Amino acid sequence: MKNKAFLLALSLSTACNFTGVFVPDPIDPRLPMYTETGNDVAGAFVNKIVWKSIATSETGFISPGYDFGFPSIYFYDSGDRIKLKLTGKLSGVETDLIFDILTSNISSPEDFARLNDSKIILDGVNNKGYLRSSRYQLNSSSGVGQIYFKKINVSGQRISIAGTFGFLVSDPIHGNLDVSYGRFDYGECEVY
Amino acid sequence: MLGGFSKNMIKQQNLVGSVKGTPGIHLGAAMNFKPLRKSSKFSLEKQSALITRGYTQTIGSFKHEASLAYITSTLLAKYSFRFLSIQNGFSYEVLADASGPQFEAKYSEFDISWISGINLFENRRAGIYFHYFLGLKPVYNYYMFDKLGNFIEEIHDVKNRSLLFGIKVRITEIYDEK
Repeated sequence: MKNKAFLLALSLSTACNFTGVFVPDPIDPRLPMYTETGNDVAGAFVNKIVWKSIATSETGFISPGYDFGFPSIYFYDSGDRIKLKLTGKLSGVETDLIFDILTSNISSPEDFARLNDSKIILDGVNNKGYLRSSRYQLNSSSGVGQIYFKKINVSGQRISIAGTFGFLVSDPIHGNLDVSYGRFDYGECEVY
Repeated sequence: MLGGFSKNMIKQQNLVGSVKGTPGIHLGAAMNFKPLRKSSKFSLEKQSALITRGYTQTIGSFKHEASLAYITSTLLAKYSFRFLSIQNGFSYEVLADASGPQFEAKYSEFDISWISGINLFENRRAGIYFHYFLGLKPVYNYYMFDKLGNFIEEIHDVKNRSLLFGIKVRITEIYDEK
């Protein structure tokens, strides 16, 4: 697959500032409440430890692997894959949650709207969820579970996205990592 | 004029950890009038007050505190004895403030409570009262989903319970001469 991305910086451009509005979840206030209001936050449990998005005003960077220092979503120009990255911290260590998803004919923000209200099974082969940090070098370990794009709004060059996720990574070194009760809400940022 | 303190409690289904109500305060005004000319013991009381409520939620070493402020509009039916009166009625409560950002995302804008209470020494210039507020309406709205992110249902949870006690001071009396 051609690994050159058509770039869509989802709400996640510097124009958004990523300051984040943390509304505590009513059930467990350690996590952000699930919202669809563009709060620029995400949260989950990883083996019952809280993983939370971090507020950032980073401009981000593009590495050869098209990586960013801020939450992002990007399309491969072949149109058959998207990658969603949520940046955060787990026990004080910067840890990203990444979803690599096989899609069909998604090569622009407008196309992305087709995923609205869709659940994507993470089978560990075509669709993967994984953690990446200095603690967990799990790029190659494929999480099995689900990501749910519950609400996607695309308006011109602006996009907002909210959803939930959960997956299990089985790693020979770290054992099972159970990522559960995940939620994210990023919104209304300009598309590059 | 009336004012005092309150002991707050909540009734809830799903909140994790240890959940305890926090003390609150209230301040307001009341107007008492007698609609039945033949019964001097029966009266109606219209109250309006600012009351605070809240709770703490403790999960291990993590502690979360929620503070709410309501403006209440209350109508009570009162029956008086010599130095004591009993009251029952309803209160309509508008959420005026809440701790944290975007509280409208999870709190209802209003609450409705059934009130039962007693007043002592109301025939004097200053008396004391105890009012129990029984919240009838869930004030939290949130989604519940399973660990994979499948939405189960939208939950309406958390009902307020408050015991208010304080001092009521009579400012003036207006009599109908007819």
